[in-house]
Amino acid sequence: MDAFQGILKFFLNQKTVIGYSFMALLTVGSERLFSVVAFKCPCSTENMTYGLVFLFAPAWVLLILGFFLNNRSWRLFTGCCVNPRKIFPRGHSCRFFYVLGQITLSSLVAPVMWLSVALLNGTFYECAMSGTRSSGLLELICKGKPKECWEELHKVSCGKTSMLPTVNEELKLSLQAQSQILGWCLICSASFFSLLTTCYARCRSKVSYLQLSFWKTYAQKEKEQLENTFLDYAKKLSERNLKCFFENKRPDPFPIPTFAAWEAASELHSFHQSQQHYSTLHRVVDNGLELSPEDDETTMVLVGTAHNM
Amino acid sequence: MEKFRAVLDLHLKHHSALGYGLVTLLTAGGERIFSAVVFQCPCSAAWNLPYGLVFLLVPALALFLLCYVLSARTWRLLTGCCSSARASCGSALRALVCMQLSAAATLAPLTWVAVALLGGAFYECAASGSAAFAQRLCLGRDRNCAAELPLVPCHEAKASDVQDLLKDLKAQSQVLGWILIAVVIIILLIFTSVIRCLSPVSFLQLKFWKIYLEQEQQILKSKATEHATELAKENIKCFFEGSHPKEYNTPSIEEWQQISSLYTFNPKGQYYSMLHKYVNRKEKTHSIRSTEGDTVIPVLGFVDSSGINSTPGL
Repeated sequence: MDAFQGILKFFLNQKTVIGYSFMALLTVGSERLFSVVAFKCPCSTENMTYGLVFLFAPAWVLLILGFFLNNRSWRLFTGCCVNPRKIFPRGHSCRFFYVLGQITLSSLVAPVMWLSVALLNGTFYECAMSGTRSSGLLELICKGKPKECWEELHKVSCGKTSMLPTVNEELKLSLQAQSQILGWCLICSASFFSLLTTCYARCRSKVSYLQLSFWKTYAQKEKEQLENTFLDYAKKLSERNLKCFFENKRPDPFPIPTFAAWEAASELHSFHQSQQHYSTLHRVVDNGLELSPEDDETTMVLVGTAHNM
Repeated sequence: MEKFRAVLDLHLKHHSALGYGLVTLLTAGGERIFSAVVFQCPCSAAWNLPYGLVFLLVPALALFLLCYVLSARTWRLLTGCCSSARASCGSALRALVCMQLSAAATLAPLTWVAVALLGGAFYECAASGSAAFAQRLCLGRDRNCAAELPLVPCHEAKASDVQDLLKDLKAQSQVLGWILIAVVIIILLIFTSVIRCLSPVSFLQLKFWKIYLEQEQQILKSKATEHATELAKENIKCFFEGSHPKEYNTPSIEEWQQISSLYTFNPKGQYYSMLHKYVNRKEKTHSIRSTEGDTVIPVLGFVDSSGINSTPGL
């Protein structure tokens, strides 16, 4: 039982690795599914459109899904039209683009995985390239082959050209080889690029290595605690409301944060060396948010602690 | 038990993502079943086009109407609409909510059409029966091409280059399907971003709001059950004993009507539901029907989707 717990704990600690591996498996699985079930090269002049659409449309869908599933993009966009100052604060106008860039980079992982797996397979690229009508590319592919190659290249995937079967096979294999080389180059350059960006980001980090680990742990814990507290307060507030509704009584005052407090806590976090706050909530609570109780609901008065003493 | 709870928490957190994933899987499965089992192209010049179009579009219409029926917001909008006591039926607020409901209901039919186009069978049948397509596809081919085109989905065309047109049709269908998916998903992203952008409520408060509504729904259900049980017990007891029931404090019709109306947001008051608004009203007899500054915010559409028995909106 202990050993099982140990193994489970090990896996739970490697959440990022497991997440990415799962994503990779999913991409490979769906790519196999696509090429076996759905993808059939038409072997006509429409080869190029067909092949390119099958290569790039799933990548596009994965990119947009990445945007959707990223919490930071919603944190960035919620309420931005109503209060533009929130995302373009004075003196930090570039922050919006910086955060948008970070979100885009993390959403690009799945499309690049898909593209590399699809290129390593070879069918999509082979279909697309065989439909090319550009004379430069045709010359490159058909160099040293009979002249039927120029006119009938698009039938190569189905094996229906009037050339010898060996020539046909050779053309197919050379197109697949090009595709696989491209796929490997993409994987190599993508991994190198991600290594460079991670190194650069770590280089420019204002905090040390151990503090960064602590920061990550703190962020995780704060997220869990926030959800638990939300659940708690939501339960108490709805119980109070329903009790008053069914028993036809006046409600007791219930302390909840006001709009201003919520707005302040929802801002994107930026680290200041002088203050060392680990999250926006930490900063809001430390700086103290004095709120005047104007509604029926008593508002929470957050008074600064060590900061003001 | 803990692992089960963890899985359930994951479900609650990514509710809409899982919901949309499920809808897509169901549509894909349904399309596979349809095209494998039920769909048989008639391969005649007169029937191909209507047959293919019906199989493509009628399930989409059915899904559209189903989405309306399954959304709790529709019933909140329609219940009591025709009774003369509620005069606010034709107001602009209701029209706005109706538009939002329709926009949300178009997602499932579009998924169906996209998956059906990716499959290819329906489009092949429909396009091979269309005279306009026959003209375009048969350019520079056999003279009998236009006559043999409707037979192509059944693999019965005699000329082999006409039969090869089947691959072209399938390719066109799949390209159309992918383009539809790409366009729909970018429109969805832009739409959602604009709605979130125009939200007067911040990110964390929206999160808290959703959790509050779920809790309110659960507690409303349990309290309503409790209350109903007590009331029923009392009534039945008095019926059998022939006695008079004691005074039971139950909310009146007006009170229920007030909390069942569509949620409107007022920047002056921070109320998370109509129930919350009602309970906090200034005077005992004050109506919360409409006050200065009430608006319908698109991002707060999820507030109306809660009820006693309804499933949370996708």
